[in-house]
Amino acid sequence: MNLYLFGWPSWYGGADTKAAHLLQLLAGHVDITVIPNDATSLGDPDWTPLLAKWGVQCATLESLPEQLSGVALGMCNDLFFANRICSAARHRGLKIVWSSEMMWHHAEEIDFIKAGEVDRLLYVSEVQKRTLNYESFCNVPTRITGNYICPNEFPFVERPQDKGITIGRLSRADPEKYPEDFPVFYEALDLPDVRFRVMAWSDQLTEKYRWHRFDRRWTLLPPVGEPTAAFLQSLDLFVYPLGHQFTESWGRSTVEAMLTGAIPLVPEGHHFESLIVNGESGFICGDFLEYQSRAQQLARDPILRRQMSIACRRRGELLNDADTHRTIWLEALDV
Amino acid sequence: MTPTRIEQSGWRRWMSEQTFCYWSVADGDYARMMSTCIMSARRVGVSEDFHVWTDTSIPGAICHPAGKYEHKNYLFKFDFLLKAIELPYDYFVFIDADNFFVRNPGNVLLQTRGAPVHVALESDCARPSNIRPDWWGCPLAEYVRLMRACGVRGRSIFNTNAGFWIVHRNVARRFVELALEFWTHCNEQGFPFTEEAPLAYAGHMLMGNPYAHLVEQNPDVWASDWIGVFADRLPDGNPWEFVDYMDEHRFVVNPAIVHCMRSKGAMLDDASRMMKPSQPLES
Repeated sequence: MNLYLFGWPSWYGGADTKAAHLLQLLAGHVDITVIPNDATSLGDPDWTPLLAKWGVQCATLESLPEQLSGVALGMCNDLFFANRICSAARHRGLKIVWSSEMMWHHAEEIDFIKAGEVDRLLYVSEVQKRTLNYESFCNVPTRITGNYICPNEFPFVERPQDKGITIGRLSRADPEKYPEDFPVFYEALDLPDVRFRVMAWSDQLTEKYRWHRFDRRWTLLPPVGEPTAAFLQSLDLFVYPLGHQFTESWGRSTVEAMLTGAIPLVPEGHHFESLIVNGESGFICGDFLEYQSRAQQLARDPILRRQMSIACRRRGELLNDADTHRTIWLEALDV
Repeated sequence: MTPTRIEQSGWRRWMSEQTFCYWSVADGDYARMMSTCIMSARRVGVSEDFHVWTDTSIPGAICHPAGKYEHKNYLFKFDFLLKAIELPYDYFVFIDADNFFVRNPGNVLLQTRGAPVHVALESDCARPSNIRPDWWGCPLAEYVRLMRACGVRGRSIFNTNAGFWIVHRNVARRFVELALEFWTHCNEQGFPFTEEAPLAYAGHMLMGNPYAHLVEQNPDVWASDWIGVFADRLPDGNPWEFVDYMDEHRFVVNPAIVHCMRSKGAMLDDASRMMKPSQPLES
C-alpha cells in the first residue's frame, strides 16, 4: 500500500503528535510519503532526517508523478479542504481518507464530503463520533481508529518518594481547554508541599487568569518548554480539569502521562472511561471533592502512589499494543 | 478615602495586600436602609469605603448617580459591577442595603479563599432531602439540569442569596459574561430568574472548591436571616439558628454581617433617627 500523509508531524498538539507516532507505527509496513502544506517544511532539520531514518519519504505533491495509486490521508489538516489539497490528491488518482481529530468540522469539510470527494472518514472515539456524526449526512464508510502512542517515547520513571508532590497538566494552549477557575482549582486541592507544573502555557492563558497570583509553587512552561516525556515524568499526578465548553475527543496527553507513570485525575465524560480503569490506573472524578480526596490520598500514601503509577504504565502499554493498532490502521486505510 | 489596605499577617499575605471597597445600588427606601447599614459598619470599626449608586445622598457613603435603570429581576447589579470596577480597588464587595454589621468582619477577602470571586452558597438543590420543590418558580431538578447543561460539573448544585458577594476587578467582565450567558439560557427555556441563579452559576464556575464557599462552612462572616429570627428589630450580635431554605436542616451561625431581610422596618426607623431629609444626587 502507498500512503500519502498530507501534513507534517510535530511533538506539540494532539493531532500532529498522532501523525508522528502513526508514521512510526506504519513505517516498514506501507510505503509512506509525507507531503507538507508548506514546501519549506522539507528543510526541517529535525523532522526530515528523522522521517528518512524511519524510511518515510517527503515530497511536494507537485514533484510527484501525475498519476499516483494509494491513499491520501488528511489528519486535522486545516488546509486539506480549504486549499483544495484534497481535490489535487484525488485528481492524481488517490483515494481520500479524512480524520478530523477534533470535535468540530473543519472549514469546507462537510461540503467536500457531500460532494463525494472523500472515500473514508475516520473517528478517533465514540465520543467524537456522536458529535461529528457523519452518518447523519453521508454514506461514506467510517472507521474508529483510536490513537496510537509509541510507549518507548514515554519511558516510565520511578518518582522520588522523599519530597513533596508535583501535579500538573499538558495540553494545547487553548484557553477553552482550561476551566474558568483553573489555578484556584489546583490550589484548592489543598495538598501539602505541592508544586504545580503546566506546559504549553501562553499569553492568552496569562490573560485569562490575570486575576490570579501564581506564586513560587507554580511553573508555567511555554509549548515544548521541556521535552514532553521529561515534563510528564516530572509529574506525580496529571490533574486535568477541562473547560466547560470543551470535550476531549480522546485524551492523548493523559495516556502519554500514564505511560511515564503519572497518575491521571480526569473529569467524567469525554473519552476517559475508555482509557482509565477508575481506581486502578487513575481516577475519574465527578466532583471537586473527588479530585481533592483522591489527590490528598495519593499525596499522603507513597506506596499507593507507586502502585498506581506502575498500573498506569501497564494500562498505557495495554492501550498501545503496536500490532493491534497497526491492524486497525491497515484495515482503515484499505479503501 | 483612599483604598484600604488590610494589614494582616499570617497565612493569607496575598489577601492582606489587596484593596477592597463595599458597594451597592440603592434608591428610595433602600438608600435609607443603606445609611443604617453603613452606620452599623462604622460603629463596629469597619473603615473601608462604601460606594453606592443611588438617587440621593447617603451619610457615610461615596455616592454615584445611578441614573435610570431597569429594576426587573435585579440584573442591574451586573451592570453596576462593571461601573464599580472603574474604581481603584482590587476587590469589590457587593452588599445589599438591608445588611447590618454586628461585628467587624475583618478582612472579608479571606472568604474568597484564593478564588477571584466569593458567592455565598446556601442549599444543595441536588439533595434528595430537599423539601421545597422549586427555587424562584423553577423546579429544583430543572435548576440542576440547567446548571449542568451550562457546565457545572459537581454532584452538588447550590443556590445563593445575592445579598453579599465579592468579585476581583480582573475577573469582573468574565463574571458578568458567565452570569448573563446562564441567565439568557434559562430565560430561553422559560425560567427568567432574578440575579441569584446567574450569581450562583458564575460562583460555581469560578470558585475552585464551591463547598468552601458555603454559608454553613463560613458561619461567622455573613448569613441571610430569611426566616426572620430578627424580624422587625435589628440584629444583636448573638448566635442564631440558620434554617436551610431547601431541606430545612438547621445550624448555628453568628455572622458579623446579618442580611436582615425581615428587618427592613427597623432599619428604616434607625435611618430616620439619624438622617436629615435627603438631598437629590445631581447627575
